[in-house]
Amino acid sequence: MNTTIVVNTLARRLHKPRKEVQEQLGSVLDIIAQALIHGEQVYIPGLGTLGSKYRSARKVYNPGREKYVEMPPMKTLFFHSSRSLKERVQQPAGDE
Amino acid sequence: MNGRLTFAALIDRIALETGLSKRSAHELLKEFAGTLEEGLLNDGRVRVRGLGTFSLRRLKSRPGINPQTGATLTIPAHNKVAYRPDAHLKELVNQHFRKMAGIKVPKNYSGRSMMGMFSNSKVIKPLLYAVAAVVVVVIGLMVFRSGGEPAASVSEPAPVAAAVPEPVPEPLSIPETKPAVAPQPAPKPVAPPAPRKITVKSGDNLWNLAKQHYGDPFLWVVIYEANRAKISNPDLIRPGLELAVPNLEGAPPQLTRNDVRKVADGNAQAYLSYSKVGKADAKDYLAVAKRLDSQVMERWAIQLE
Repeated sequence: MNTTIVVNTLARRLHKPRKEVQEQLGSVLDIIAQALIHGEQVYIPGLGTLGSKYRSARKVYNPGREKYVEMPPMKTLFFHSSRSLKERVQQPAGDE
Repeated sequence: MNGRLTFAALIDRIALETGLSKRSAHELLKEFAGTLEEGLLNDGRVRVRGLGTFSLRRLKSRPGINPQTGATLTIPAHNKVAYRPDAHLKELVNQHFRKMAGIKVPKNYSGRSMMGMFSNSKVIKPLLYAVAAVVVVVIGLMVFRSGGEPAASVSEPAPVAAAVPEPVPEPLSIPETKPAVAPQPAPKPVAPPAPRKITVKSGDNLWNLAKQHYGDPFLWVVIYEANRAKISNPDLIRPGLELAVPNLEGAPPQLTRNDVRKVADGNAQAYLSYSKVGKADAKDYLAVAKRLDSQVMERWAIQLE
C-alpha cells in the first residue's frame, strides 16, 4: 500500500473528494514532521508513538577500510506501535 | 526538547492548519490509523510519503528469560510493526539537531566535522551577518535611548505592535461541511412516513438516484437498504424495477440522528453484499458505518458473523 492508495481509501471512508483529503493528509504529515523535527513525540491513538532518539558520537569499525571511523552524533526516528495495533496485527499469521 | 505532542494538541494544530473542525480532524486521524492498519494486514507494508514505511515483520519463537523471576521461557512467534523513516524526514530531523548541537555541545565531540559543516553552510554566514547587524542596531538604539528623550523609544515599538495582529487565524469558526454536490431538489415532503415509489429507468443507478432525491450520492446505501429484497447486486438495477425511496428527517448536510443510523445500517449492508462478491473496497463501507454510528457493530453483530 502506498500514499495514493491511502488517500483513495481515506476519501472513500470520509466521503470527501480525493484532492481535499490529499491536502489535509499532507498538512497532517507536515505537522507530525514538524513536531518530530522539534524533538517532540507524537502519539496517534490506534497507531502508536513516533519520536526521535539521540545517538551520541561513536567510533565505528569499517571492515572495508579496516579501521575505525568517527560517527557524528545523530538523531534516529523510532515508532512504537500501540498496544491495540500490536494485538490486531497478530491475527493473520496465527501461532506456530 | 523531549516534549510530547499529545493527541489533543495534535488535533488543535490540524484544525488550525486545515480549517477542519476538531471533530473532522479527529475522524481524519482515526481513519488514517485504520487505513494504515488495514494496509499492514493486507499488504504487510504501507509506505506514506513524508513519513516513512511501516511493515509487518515476522519474529520466530525464541527462548527468553523472565527478567523478574529468572525463569526460562519461550517467546512465541509473533508479528511486529517495523518502521523505517522517510529519508528526507530523517535528514530534516538531523539537520535541525546538528545545528543545535553545534552550538550547545561542541566540546564533547572533536568538533571538526561539525565546525566544517558550520562554516561551509551557505545559510549560516548571511545569518550571522544579519545577527551582527541587528546587535549593532540594538546597541545603537540603547545608546540613543539613554541619551535622547523617551518619546523616541515609545514610537519605536509601535509599528511592530501594528504588524502583529494581522495574521490572526480567522478560519477557526468555519465548520467543515461536506461539499454538497447538487442543489437538493425538494428532499422532504413534510414527514409522511410512507416512502416514495419510483420506477427505475434505463441508465439509472443507485448513486445517481440518491443524488437526485437526497442531494448527496453517498446516501445511495439508504435506498439500497430499503429495497434489499429486490436488489441482489447494488451495482446492477434493472429498468422497470419499483424502488421505495425512504424519507429522511433532515436534509443531507444536517441529518438527524435517526437518519445517520439509517445511513450507517445501509453502509453495513453494503459491506456485507460487497464482501460476498469480493469487492476490494468493501471494508471501507464498514469503516464508514462505524464512523457514523458507534453502535452499528452491536446491531449487526449476527449478520457480520
